[in-house]
Amino acid sequence: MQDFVKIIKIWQYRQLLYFLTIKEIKVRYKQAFFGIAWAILTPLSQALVFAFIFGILLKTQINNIPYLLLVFSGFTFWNFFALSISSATSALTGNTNLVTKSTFPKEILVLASVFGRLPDLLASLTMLLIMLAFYQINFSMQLLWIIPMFAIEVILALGIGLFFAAANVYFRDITALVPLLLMLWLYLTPVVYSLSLIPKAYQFFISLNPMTGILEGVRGSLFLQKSPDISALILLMCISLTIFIINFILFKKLEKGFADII
Amino acid sequence: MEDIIVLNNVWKKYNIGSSKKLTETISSFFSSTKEKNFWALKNISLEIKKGEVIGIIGPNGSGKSTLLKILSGISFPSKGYLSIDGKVASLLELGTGFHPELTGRENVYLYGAILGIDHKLIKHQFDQIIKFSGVGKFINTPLKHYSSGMYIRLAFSVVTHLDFDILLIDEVLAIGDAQFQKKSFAKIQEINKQNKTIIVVSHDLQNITKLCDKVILLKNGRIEKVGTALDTVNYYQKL
Repeated sequence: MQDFVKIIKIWQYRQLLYFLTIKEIKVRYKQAFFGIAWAILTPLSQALVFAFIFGILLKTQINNIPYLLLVFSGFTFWNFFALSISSATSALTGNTNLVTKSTFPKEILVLASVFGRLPDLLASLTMLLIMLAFYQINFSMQLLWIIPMFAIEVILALGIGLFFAAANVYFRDITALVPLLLMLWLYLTPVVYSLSLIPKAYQFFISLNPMTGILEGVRGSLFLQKSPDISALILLMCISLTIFIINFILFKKLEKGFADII
Repeated sequence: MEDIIVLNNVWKKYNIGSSKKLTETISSFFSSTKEKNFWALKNISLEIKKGEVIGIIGPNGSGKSTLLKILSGISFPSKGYLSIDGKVASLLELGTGFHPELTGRENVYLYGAILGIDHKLIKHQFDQIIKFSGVGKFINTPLKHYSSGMYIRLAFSVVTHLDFDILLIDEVLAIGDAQFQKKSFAKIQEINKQNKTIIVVSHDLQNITKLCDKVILLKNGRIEKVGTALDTVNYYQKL
């Protein structure tokens, strides 16, 4: 309970969170010629390569959704998740000075590193909507379901990010582990494929991954004008919140040692 | 007057094996003995009253910076009791969190937020901060184009214009050119006149004597002597 109260403290430092987030974004794109365009170029190149291999060479077709769109939507949401976690992992170890010489609650650094990825997502999402129009897919109000889906994704990314950020202070192995873990996780998430492609016997295991539910929900609302199953949505939210709260409490417990260990 | 800071039998232990930075700071102690734990502070008891200016002196590795870290709430005592009654601004290093790619203006707000100062207050004091720093028209220039003197002056100016009860300073008295040193020294004295508590760690015994009411001498993590500035400094020089 005592740790839980500390979540409120984040609110007192919202100004700092805002400045650190802006700093993350500004610093990332300063002196980069393509700037925010990287946020579109990255998933687009990923999608084109997969569309070439699976869409053209292997003629993969899923639910009549153009394969390029399917993969691009997958990477749009997956990249936010993966990049958030990798930024979060170095949020403390990359700011040693702030950890050892200032007193604000250190979860602010993790939050800023995740929120700093939002403009990338928005840019990529805009591109996705343009592609949707290009492929003449109907827009409907169901599209708005991507908002709660995305909220669940942010909470999940924050929870996992908090864990890796704190663990990385104690063991630098985490720096090497996280990219590997994210790569394996990508394969086990329907990013370049869809859940319907998985044999029934294995679908359950793939569904245990919260990112599966998020991506499937997003695609349903984007491409099939379908609202997600509400009970599944609530379950996903509960899972993400639980992961977040457990890791937040763990983070606050470990925080006391950060300045000494880092 | 009331005690604003109380330390009761405070000990601080560091695990030497696991930290890179720590071994640097205490390498002078790290002799051939393979001790895994290092007591940076041993049985420190202190009472500091509101409005006092306290100096902390001592040889390298005597625990001065560790003590400041504990007072500022960055590190926590391994044993003992600590109570601080007021808002602490710690200047363990000038410009912690300053980013070279951001402009002077952006950095003032960022730095203020890092120190936990309300945005409105910084806005309110902004012109004075800039005036005191003497950065002038460079305020909208990215920090990477600043000279090191301008950088330090801006950071000092932000901290000293903000609202706090206790100011912790680590070796940042001698900053900028002679003229700015004079100005910053006067500023610290002015802050003290507003009944703020100031704790200074420094090797600059001359400034410590001029500035402090009371000086604490640390040696090997223990308090060796507490007394008036002149007494303690004289004692230290005879060691």
